[in-house]
Amino acid sequence: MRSIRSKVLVSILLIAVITASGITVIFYVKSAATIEENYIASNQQQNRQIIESLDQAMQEVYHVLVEASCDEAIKAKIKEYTTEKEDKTLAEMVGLLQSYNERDTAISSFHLIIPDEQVLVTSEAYPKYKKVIERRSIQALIKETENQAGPLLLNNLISGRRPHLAFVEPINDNGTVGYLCANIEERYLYYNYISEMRNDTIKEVMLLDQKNEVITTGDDRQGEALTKTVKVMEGKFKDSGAGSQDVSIDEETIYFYSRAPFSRCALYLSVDRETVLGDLTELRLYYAGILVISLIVASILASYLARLIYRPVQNLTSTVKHVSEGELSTRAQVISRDEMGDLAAEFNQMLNQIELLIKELIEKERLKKDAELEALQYQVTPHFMYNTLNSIKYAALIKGERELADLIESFVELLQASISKKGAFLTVSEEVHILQNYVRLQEFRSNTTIKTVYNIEPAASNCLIPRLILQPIVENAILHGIDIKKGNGLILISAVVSGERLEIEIKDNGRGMSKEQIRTLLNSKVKKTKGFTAVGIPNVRDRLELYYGEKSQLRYVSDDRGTTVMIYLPAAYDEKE
Amino acid sequence: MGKRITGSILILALLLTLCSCKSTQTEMPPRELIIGVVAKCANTEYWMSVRSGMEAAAKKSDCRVLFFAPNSEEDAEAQEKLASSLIRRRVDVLAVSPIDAVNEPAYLREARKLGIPVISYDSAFESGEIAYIGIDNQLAGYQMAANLAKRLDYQGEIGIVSGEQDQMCHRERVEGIKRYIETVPGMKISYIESGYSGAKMSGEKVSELRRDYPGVKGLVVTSAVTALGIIESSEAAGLRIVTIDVQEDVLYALKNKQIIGLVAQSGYDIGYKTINYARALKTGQVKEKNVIIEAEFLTAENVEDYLEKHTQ
Repeated sequence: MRSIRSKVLVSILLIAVITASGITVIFYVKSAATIEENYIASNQQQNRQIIESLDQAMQEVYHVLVEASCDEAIKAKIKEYTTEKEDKTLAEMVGLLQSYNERDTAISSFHLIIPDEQVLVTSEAYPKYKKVIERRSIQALIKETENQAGPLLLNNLISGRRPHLAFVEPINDNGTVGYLCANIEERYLYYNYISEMRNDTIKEVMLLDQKNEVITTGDDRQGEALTKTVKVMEGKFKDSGAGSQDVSIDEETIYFYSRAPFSRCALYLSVDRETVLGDLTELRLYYAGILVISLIVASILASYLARLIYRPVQNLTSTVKHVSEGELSTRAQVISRDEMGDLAAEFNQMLNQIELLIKELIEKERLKKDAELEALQYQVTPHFMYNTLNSIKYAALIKGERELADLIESFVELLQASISKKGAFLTVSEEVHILQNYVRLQEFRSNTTIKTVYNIEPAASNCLIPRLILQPIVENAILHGIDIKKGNGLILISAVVSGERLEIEIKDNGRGMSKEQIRTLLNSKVKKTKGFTAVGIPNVRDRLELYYGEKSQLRYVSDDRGTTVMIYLPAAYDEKE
Repeated sequence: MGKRITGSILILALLLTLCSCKSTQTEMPPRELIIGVVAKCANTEYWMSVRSGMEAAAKKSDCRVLFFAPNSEEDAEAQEKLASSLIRRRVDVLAVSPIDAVNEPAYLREARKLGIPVISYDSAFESGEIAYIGIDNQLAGYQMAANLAKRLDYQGEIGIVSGEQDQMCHRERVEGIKRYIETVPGMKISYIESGYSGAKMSGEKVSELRRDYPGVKGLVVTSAVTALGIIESSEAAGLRIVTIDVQEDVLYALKNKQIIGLVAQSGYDIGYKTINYARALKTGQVKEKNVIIEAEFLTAENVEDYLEKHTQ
């Protein structure tokens, strides 16, 4: 991932993926929780309604039972039967019970037990009464219901069929003379309260009495399976009392529990969580679709943004590449007004500066070359001239003209020095040797003696200086300074190293120069001169500046006693310095 | 740097996800308080308004009211059975308007045994040990007698038609009436007819009383239902009647000047305050043993104001 563009793209995509995934997961989890909570709330509401409706029915049954148990007519009939023991009285009791039975549809039948007579009278069509009820059964019933608030699951004293739900109330007439039971059939409770709850989501549904004995269930489970379910329920809702409503959730199942405040009957049902959350399958697909669409949109946007961000970078990179390949005229396009735009503008500015510096450098180099070329251009001393002059020198020696031969040699050496291609620099001692030759030739030319004193420090003699830098100054002193005709001309040449600086001084005892002359000389442009080497003082000045810049100095001090020229330049022993 | 940012984003996403994963265990509200209520009767307007007040208070304070009543205000046996049944069901508080306030019923003993608090409303127990929520019945009787006396110019005979004297409310009202009449030298109570707790007096009985006590010009009736029965009879013409209990037909009778005064005992208020008291009792916030509710005395002149105030 070397490209900024790919980094930006990946970063944006990463953020988009994490954000979209996070949001999707949160929404999914929230939706699942909401669906479950709504289901629970809805079921609780339904259960509450069912249990309240059941409780209301039970209250009404109990109310009718209490009213019947206080009925003076029934009490009178019991008394009458106890005294007379006539079946007619029992039949009349049946009529009274039936009238109460009709008061409430939840009551399947009334049973009136007269314990002392072991008689049971019913409100049913058949049998209307049963005369011989086992005393043991009656005692069991009394014991079971004593101090207990109904309804309870009781065995049917007539048929002995499976238990049914019943309220029992004693009939008091100077003591307990009978017991009245209001019976409610299991099927009545099933069809009125349980059957409607049977659906695909509900796993188990049960109605239990206050002792957690099963009154009716939504399926055919019996025996151990039923006992197991009751135990599960008791384990989960052991702390839930009358009038409570509770929910318990485990990994797979949601358990609902409601207990009626009056009858204390409990409605229990369990629901498969997976079934409840079945609607989530569709929702899951929906969220997955949203996620995919979000990611596609994010990818497109990321690509566009990456391109947008990368374009100025690419432009700058391309410009840098072109510049590095030498196309210095290339400029970066300023596309944006942001930091990248500033960077491009600054880069362009930097290129402009570099270009300017390079131009200046080239110009300086050109000027330096021009100066050198100019210095060389006028030193036309072909090889032929050396050979010829050498021949003449040897001819002079053969003829015994030793002085002439020396002059010719000096001249040859001077010529060689001026046109030598050995390099731009000579040592001070080499330059001094050139000066010696030059002065000798000038003496010969003018037929006079020019006193030249060389005071070169040993440390200075090996210092490198630009070729022919001293000759034009000495030439100037000979031609314009000292008076050759008088024969007292003196030129002092000294060189010392002071610290890292080489200080060369050329002093003559000539007529001197005015300040104006010095200024004109130092400020005049390079031009052809009539001197030997055709290299003038301006040339010396320019070369010093080109080679050493501000590190070099050319100074003229002059009065009527002579002129002193001082050259200061870095003491160098190697051309590379 | 890049790794740090990516790490931070991942941690943030993880935290967000974890935060969103709320526990699915549903928190259930605490078990509601179950208040067993036994009334004297359930099918008169007064008792219906008592029940309404109770249901309203229960709804407001998350209580459950199990309301039972015998078919008539005379059926003490049924009332005791119903109260016993509620005690056996371990209600949190039992509120009773006792039909028999004199004899201590068995359910009070059972309640004491099980530690279930019992309060009385509308009508107190004679013993005075049980907390009472309702109007000052003696004061009500006193007010009724005073207003009737005023309309009779503090002269002449009056009669009293009251409910069962076993019921404290009726007994106290009669006592209040007597206390006042004793202070008026020109007046006397000619008869006290008891046993009309929410029951209508027959026309024949009214006729009989008019015949036997021709000097009686005013009647204090300690139950509105009984008073309504009396004014329906043509034999009651000319009798000035004052009574007690707020119910629509009695207010209408007052507006039409069929009765001259009414102690506005609001069943709704009594019911409402009974449940609040029961709740306070269970939460240990009861300040006074009894709660006496004020009852206005209404006449044809101020009944409109009363109606306007209470129907807004």
